[in-house]
Amino acid sequence: MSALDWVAIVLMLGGAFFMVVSTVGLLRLPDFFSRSHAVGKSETLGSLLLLAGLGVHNGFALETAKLLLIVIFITATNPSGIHVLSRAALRKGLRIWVHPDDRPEEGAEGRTGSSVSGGAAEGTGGSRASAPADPRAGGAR
Amino acid sequence: MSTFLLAMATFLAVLVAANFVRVILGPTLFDRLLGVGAIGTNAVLLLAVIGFLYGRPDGFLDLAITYAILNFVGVVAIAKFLDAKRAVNEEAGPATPALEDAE
Repeated sequence: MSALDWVAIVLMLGGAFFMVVSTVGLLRLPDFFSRSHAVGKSETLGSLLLLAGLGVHNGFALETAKLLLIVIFITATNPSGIHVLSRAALRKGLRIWVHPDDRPEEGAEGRTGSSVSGGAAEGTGGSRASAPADPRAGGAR
Repeated sequence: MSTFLLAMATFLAVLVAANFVRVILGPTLFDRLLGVGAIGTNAVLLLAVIGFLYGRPDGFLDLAITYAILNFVGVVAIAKFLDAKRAVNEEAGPATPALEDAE
């Protein structure tokens, strides 16, 4: 294996690392907005590194130009698509997750009493939608 | 190098399966859409790696470009549909699906 192959392997391993970070963030973060934060940036960087590694492996050829095209396209579209999705979620009234220690006192949010107490007893919290009479317990872990 | 590419393709397939968990049990519709978008990006990378693994990257890279475009258009179309207050018919009331799934 030549030195360029090792460069390609290192680039692709870096890309795989950032893809793992994105997947772990998608699976473990508490609500939609933090998940979109994880996916929108780390997955873009991971795909850029992986495609750059493939380009180094291929060398100077037509396929590298196609890889560059995919890189440009993913750089432009992946964060903007997630931005459009997050804006739709915000306008739909999806509630932003707050850490349980930072949550305001009961009744301060104008929700019904049973719902607020259910949310406070839940402890770890989770993503809840803005429906005022939503007694869903268990959250979204 | 071929062994490494095979390992990378297997790894990306495992990541697709892990992202699909979020699509299955995401509490809101937007979580599911986010998972679908992540799976689409993973599929683009998987197509590129498989192309180099099989030794004919030209056709597979065309497929990857097409898949990237379709993924972006699909996610943006569904997000704009959910963003619209009333879709298609002004008098039909809010035509967007419920924010949370039943159950």
